[in-house]
Amino acid sequence: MSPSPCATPHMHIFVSVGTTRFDAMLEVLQDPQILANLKELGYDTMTIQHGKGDPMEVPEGCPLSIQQISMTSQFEREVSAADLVISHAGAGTILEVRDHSKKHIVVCNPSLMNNHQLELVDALNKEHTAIGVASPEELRELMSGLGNLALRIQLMSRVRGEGSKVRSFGTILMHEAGLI
Amino acid sequence: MSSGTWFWLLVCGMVLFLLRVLMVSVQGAKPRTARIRLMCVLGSGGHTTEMIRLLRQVDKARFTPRSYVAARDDPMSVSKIRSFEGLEDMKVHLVTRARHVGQPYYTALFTSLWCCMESVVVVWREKPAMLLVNGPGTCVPVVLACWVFRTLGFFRCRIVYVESFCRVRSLSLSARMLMPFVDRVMTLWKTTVPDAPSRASQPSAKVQYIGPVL
Repeated sequence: MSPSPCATPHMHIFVSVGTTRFDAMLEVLQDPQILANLKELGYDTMTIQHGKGDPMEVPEGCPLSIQQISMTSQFEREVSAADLVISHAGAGTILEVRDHSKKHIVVCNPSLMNNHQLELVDALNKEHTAIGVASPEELRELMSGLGNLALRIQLMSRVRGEGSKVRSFGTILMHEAGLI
Repeated sequence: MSSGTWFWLLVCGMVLFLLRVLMVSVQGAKPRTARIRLMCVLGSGGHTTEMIRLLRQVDKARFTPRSYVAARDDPMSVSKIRSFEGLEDMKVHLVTRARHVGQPYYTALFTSLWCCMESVVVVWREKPAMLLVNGPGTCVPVVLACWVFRTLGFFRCRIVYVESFCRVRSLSLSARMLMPFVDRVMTLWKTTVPDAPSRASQPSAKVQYIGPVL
């Protein structure tokens, strides 16, 4: 499959594991086939925030230029600089990526028990505001098939912007306080 | 006086007290001034982040003065709220955590009591007209303290609980636990509001879906 004609040159990916570690997610991303697929879709640079875990092992001849950081105080800037964000299912991260209307692949961490991440990514999938996957294995499945990945990313962008904020929380709280 | 008179005095007293409880919890909790003293409880693990996202939308001129309660071992929340407030007038109160992760339960009894006392003092000093919480452990004694003071008629306070963005299909344990003591539980997902498969699990009228405001 050839790169889609509307793909802009120099597209950037931001990968974030949050403040702890999520090595299993990075292990999926170091797969040469997956990196090749991302290149094919028009992405050529990737910043990886690996948290307290080890940096990703970059395979030889990696088609993307990869930069790795452990933590960032410039999270918002990293998100706004990216065209695609791949991250853990932390609420803070999900909300930040929404603010910037970026394409987002959200990966649940099955080793965290009892934390409702699955419910959250399910809801995001239903809204089509992000692609949610239940585990790193599911991420591998999603990203291994080039056609599938391209289609899913495209669908996500098409519905973005729907269901935007109706009432502001400020108004709701004024109501609650009896000020309106 | 005869023992019968004492009995009736006691009954009258109890009836008056119950009426007071009813009055405050039905409508007396609504503050009536144009400026609202706001108190918010912060907490690690996303609670502070979500709280700040809510507060960004709130008219600071109407909700003033503002005070915050944070756990003593949570400097991250304090620095986040300080950078959100900037130079504006606000106070941060620190309280001890009821139980640290890994702390044995028998000592947790004492730290919990201490935490409750600190919360009572903080609430008494601030006398908030509105208490806004979103579920960190620290908020439980603060909500209870507020509820007790307003029920006894010391000050009016409206207690609002905003459920976390992470809770999609059910209310969190702290929301369900605090349900009798708050005036409103707001949810960000429609599906968080419990359905009523039976009469027994009828959703409380306090639960309100407010839309994706975050």
